[in-house]
Amino acid sequence: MTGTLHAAGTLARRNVLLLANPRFLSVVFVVPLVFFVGFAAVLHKLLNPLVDFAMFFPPAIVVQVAMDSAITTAFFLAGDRRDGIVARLRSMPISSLAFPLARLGVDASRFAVSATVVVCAGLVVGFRFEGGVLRTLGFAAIAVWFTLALSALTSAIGLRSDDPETVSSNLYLPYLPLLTLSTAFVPISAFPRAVEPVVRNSPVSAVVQALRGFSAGDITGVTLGRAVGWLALLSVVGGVAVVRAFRRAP
Amino acid sequence: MITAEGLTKRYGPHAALDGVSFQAGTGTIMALLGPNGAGKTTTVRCLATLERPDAGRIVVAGCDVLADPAGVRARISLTGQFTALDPVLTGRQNLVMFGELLGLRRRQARARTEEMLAQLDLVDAADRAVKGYSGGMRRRLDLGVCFLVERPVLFLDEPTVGLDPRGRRQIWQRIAGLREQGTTIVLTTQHLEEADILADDIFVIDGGRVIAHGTPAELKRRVAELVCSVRIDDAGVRARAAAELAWAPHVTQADGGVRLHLDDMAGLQRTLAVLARLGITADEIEVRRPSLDEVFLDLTDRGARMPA
Repeated sequence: MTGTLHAAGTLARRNVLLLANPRFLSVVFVVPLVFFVGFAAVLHKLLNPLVDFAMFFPPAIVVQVAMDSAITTAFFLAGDRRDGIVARLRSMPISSLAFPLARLGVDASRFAVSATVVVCAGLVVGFRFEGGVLRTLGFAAIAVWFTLALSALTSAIGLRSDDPETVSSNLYLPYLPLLTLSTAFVPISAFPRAVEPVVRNSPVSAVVQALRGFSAGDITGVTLGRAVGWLALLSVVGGVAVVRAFRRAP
Repeated sequence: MITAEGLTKRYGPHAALDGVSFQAGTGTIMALLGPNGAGKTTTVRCLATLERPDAGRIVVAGCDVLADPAGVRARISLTGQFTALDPVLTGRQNLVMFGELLGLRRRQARARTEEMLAQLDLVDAADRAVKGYSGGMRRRLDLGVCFLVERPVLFLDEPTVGLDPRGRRQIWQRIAGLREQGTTIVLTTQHLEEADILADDIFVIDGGRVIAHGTPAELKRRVAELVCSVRIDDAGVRARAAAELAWAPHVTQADGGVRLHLDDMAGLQRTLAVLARLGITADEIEVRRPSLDEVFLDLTDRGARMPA
């Protein structure tokens, strides 16, 4: 166990060093703000008659940034495979968990910074945590868990490729329908009846509704249960997939 | 120290390894020699736990590769055919990171890193990102990772590809030095001089099978004890000489000369006598041991025979 943590710590330090360049600093700080401002400009007027925009909108961007972050995870891992680093690590006496742990840990922290940027932007337009400290922590926990579970899944995909650009562009294919066919940007009432069941049962909807519940302070057991159920499922599938993919990566 | 029996590995219908067996004794250098696509890299990947063979058994330093891969990983060091470094980190950062992952404490890793940088002539480049390194520098750094900790077994898959002659010699010295300390080394190479200089034992593989095995000297002797090349510029004289020397195990007439494989010194004396008797003034005579190149071509039967 100490061996796993020591190796994961070493790899995590390296992952942090990789972030320290202008390109990734802009991914962490600037891109979330661009999303926020861009979507707010387009959606503000449309959404305002339907929902309280300031409370409704920021969780959507948090979810979007979480999904984006998971794609970046796959990008990094495919790059490591291309560079031969995965094969070298696999021939070393380190636990199969250390490498994925280091990647997921650093990427979750990176997401936490971006999400904080988004929440701060939200505070400017009137977003508030109205449920006290515990519910605020609940918001943070669900958001981070979501990106961790997704990143585990995308890691497994990234480790099967040695072409970072292809992997990230492929992952944007499921990303778009998952995001648009959810209650992230549009309330359920605005969807056509035909797609409503899809939207209602989407994992992205489950997570974004839980985030809204925690920030508004009116989270219900059902809303939380749906989110936790989805996240538990994604975590198990993603966790198994990522360790297997690391062990088998050519 | 290393035993492989009946290794088989298929990729779809293609058998990359088709029943490969070999051994390497403790403190020896075993070379896997073969052309591109012979199965050298697949073999090393199986030895290093990166690939599971479909059939066969491998024991490395007392650990079965399939039953105890973790045990194997703790006893080996590997440098692959392609360098495996973080291109964004500096040379120094790469060495420290891999040193720690290999189980060194941070301070030890730093100390070993400085030693390696000095030994591999990389001190000046130590703080530059590896993506700016030349091929030779990357190769040296990659080998440096492999040399950071001493393991009983070292796998080197074409370790000197991309190095200039000086760099190659440095690495050869180092590899030979590790053998002196008792490290068992498996080396794959297409570079025959490399196998000749370093290897105690050579397994020649082609098409996923072992086609020959022996010390460099034994393998050369399989072709001939001596190779004698005689330069004769006149084509008529050359043909007569070739006819008179037809008793030799192998005679070829090539541009400007005759080349013979001879079994012993008596054969050489006989050759010289024939040349004298025919009144042939040989413009130039060269006598030498066969090269591994000749062995290689003879065994793998690829390409035309070398001209004299």
